[in-house]
Amino acid sequence: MAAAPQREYPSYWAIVWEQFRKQRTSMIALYTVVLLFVIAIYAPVLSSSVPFIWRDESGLSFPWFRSLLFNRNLFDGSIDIFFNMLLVLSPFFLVSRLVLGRRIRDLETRKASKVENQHLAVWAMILIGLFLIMNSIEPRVAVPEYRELAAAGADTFSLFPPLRIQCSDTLHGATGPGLSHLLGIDDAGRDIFVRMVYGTRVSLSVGVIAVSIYITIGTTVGAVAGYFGGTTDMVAQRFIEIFLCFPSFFLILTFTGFLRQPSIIWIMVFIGIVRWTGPARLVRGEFLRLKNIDFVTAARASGLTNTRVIFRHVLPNAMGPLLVNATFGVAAAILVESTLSFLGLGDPTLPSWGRILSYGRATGDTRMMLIAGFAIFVTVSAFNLSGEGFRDALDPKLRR
Amino acid sequence: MSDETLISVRNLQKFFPVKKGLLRRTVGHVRAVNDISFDIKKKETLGLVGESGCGKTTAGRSLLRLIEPTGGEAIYRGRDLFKLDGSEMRKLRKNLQIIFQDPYSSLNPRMTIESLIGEAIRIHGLADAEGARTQVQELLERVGLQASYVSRYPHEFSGGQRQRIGIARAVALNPEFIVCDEAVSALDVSIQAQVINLLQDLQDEFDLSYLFIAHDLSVVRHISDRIAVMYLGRIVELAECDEMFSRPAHPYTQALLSAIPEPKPRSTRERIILQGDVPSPINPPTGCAFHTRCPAAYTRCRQEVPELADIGAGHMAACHLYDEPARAEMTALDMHNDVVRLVRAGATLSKRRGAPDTEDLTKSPLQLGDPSEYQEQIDTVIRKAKSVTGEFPAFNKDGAKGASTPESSD
Ligand SMILES: Nc1ncnc2c1ncn2[C@@H]1O[C@H](COP(=O)(O)OP(=O)(O)OP(=O)(O)O)[C@@H](O)[C@H]1O
Ligand code: SF4
Ligand SMILES: [Mg+2]
Repeated sequence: MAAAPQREYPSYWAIVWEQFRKQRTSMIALYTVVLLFVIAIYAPVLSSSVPFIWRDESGLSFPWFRSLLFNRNLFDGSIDIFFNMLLVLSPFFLVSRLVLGRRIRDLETRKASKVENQHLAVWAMILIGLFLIMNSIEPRVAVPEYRELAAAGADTFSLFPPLRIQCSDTLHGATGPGLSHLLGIDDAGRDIFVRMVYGTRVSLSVGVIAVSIYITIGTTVGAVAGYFGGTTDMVAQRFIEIFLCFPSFFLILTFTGFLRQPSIIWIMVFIGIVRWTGPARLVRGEFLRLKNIDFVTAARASGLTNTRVIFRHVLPNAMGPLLVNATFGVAAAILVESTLSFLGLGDPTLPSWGRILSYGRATGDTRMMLIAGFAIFVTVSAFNLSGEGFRDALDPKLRR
Repeated sequence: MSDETLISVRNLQKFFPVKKGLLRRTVGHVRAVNDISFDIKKKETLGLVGESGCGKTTAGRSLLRLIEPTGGEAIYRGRDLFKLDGSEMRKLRKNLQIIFQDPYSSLNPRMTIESLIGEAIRIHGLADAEGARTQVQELLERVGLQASYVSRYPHEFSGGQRQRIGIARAVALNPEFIVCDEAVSALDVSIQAQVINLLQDLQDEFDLSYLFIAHDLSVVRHISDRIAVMYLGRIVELAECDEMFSRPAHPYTQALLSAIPEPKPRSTRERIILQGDVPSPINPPTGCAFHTRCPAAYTRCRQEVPELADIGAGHMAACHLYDEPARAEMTALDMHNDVVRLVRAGATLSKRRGAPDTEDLTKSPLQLGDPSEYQEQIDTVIRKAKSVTGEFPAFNKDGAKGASTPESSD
């Protein structure tokens, strides 16, 4: 009896997850979402005009790694920067999962043992070192020339991604679907498959970033209004009501209409500042309910500061509904971006699915329209179905 | 229990604004706690009882400033708690704790028992993470749970276990004073007794003072040194526990006491059933707030608010009956008790005999004005009652000044 091994007791989220896993549709939807993120993050591994390894008479270089973070102008390529960052960080994440495993939860009690932290540190050093070494070698070839040089030069060694295509390439002369162009090329000579793959980055980043923006604004306003109440609450509520008077999509349309050249960042910001009222009301309601609940009173009675009470006791208990709201929000934001792009109000520099759809319509390419439409449909449904799964998993009435 | 005062509360008030309309104008106030004063002595348990909604919770929480009080003061260690700023108050909070009624809503479902109890220990710098864990394990064992429960989440425990966890959290910071707000009301009777015993053991061990809130006198009887009875935001009676049970002075307390089932089946004591509902604390009745339901109410009760005053040997009551000049002649307590019982006994008896003409005896409250009238009325009532019943029920003569009690003057 005494030597019985210490069982892991499930936390609230572990139970919610257990519950979520029981729903097949939602699990499939969640896998789809994960797959979409994998595609978006690892897109450059699949297709890029820059080789991983390049060796010529001047020596060895790793142009692909360098191109991930340094070869673009920050504002224009911000989406790629965002996903490339994730791409660079993903090995760290994987290593930390592998090494620390399930112990990560114990960080709360500062129990993760020092040995394991050292492991992680060593791994991190190795990875960072490798990355720095690869990037420190100055390539002597201009980016667009790699392919031609590789095709011509026999005395070079190169390792390219499977598809040596950049999504802005115009490859005149190529024809319908084939091994090198899986879904064919469009009127302008661009590879549709590669554009669809990079389009995943556009949709997901709009979804995630726009939703993060408005969840942040909404949570802050809602939390302050709900927790402190009184005049603050009244002002916040009137402000929300004023915002709710305007139909949000037309507000976004109007805003983008004012831009000379709509950039994706602005579209995210517009969605963010128009949609914050939903989570604000949600969080306000949760805070009103929670601020007088006994365990919050107990936390205040223990002498904790307001900040700590809010972040440790109130907010975690309001997280569930917020997560559901955010998941539905991602789907909605993706739809908004696609619509804007379809209407020609999107960012013209990016291979957005909405743009592909509208280009297919303009050039009479039905197949292209179907492909883009299907991608939008699958992504939006995947997020919506995951959201529904979370909502049901959080509902204690449906439990067990 | 010692005689040293730990906290002294004076004129504590808490009014909740009642808001209406689009602009949320304040149209009135819920006088949840209306000017109450009491002392809590070191190592003492002060019971606070009253019907639901009379303001017990509000009193307990505003005393700890978990609700910001409207007025009054609470002197603790020479300082007024209500005047401290945020950070000073936070520092003192470890000495002043609270246990809640509902074991389900009082534990954060997202935290392990360890962080639930240990958080405050670490915040107040009483121990580091490692030390806090050990302390939490010791505390769990102290309240009768297993030390290995530290890494579990609240949803794995029963109501009684959760209440023990709540108690462990309250004593974790080694406080001097704990507000137990109906700490056992939500539990099964068998578990109630265990939890009360635990609270008493902890009191002895840690020299705690309790403000023990309950809506029922029988619960506080066992644990309290003194008892305060609240009605509509005011304390109407405050006395030592035994005194309160043997000689309840205020008509409200008497009614509450008569509602407790008597262990002796042949008891002559009668159940006083209060008429009507508790009035709204938004518009409390004028004068004595209890006059709408008091079987002994008279004119003065509607006009003047009775002060909580010493009616002898530290027994405090807020009732005009104990303030009448007639008190010089006899123990007002006895006189009052006797008259009320007489009238009711007479009425009950005569009702049983089917005499309809005595209805008015119970219906119309005693009309007591100036002293002579007072005596006269009592005599009339006695005469009437006698004429109906032909006999008197037995009286409890404890402490009565025999010569001047009405029935012995007959
Ligand atoms: N936050 C609030 N806003 C407005 N009115 C309130 C608030 N809290 C309590 N009240 C009112 O104050 C009065 C006293 O409430 P309180 O909870 O203190 O009573 P209580 O004696 O603890 O009752 P119970 O036995 O039901 O717990 C009630 O009339 C209640 O409606
Ligand atoms: S003051 Fe009057 S109404 Fe109030 S309790 Fe005493 S007798 Fe009853
Ligand atoms: Mg209460």
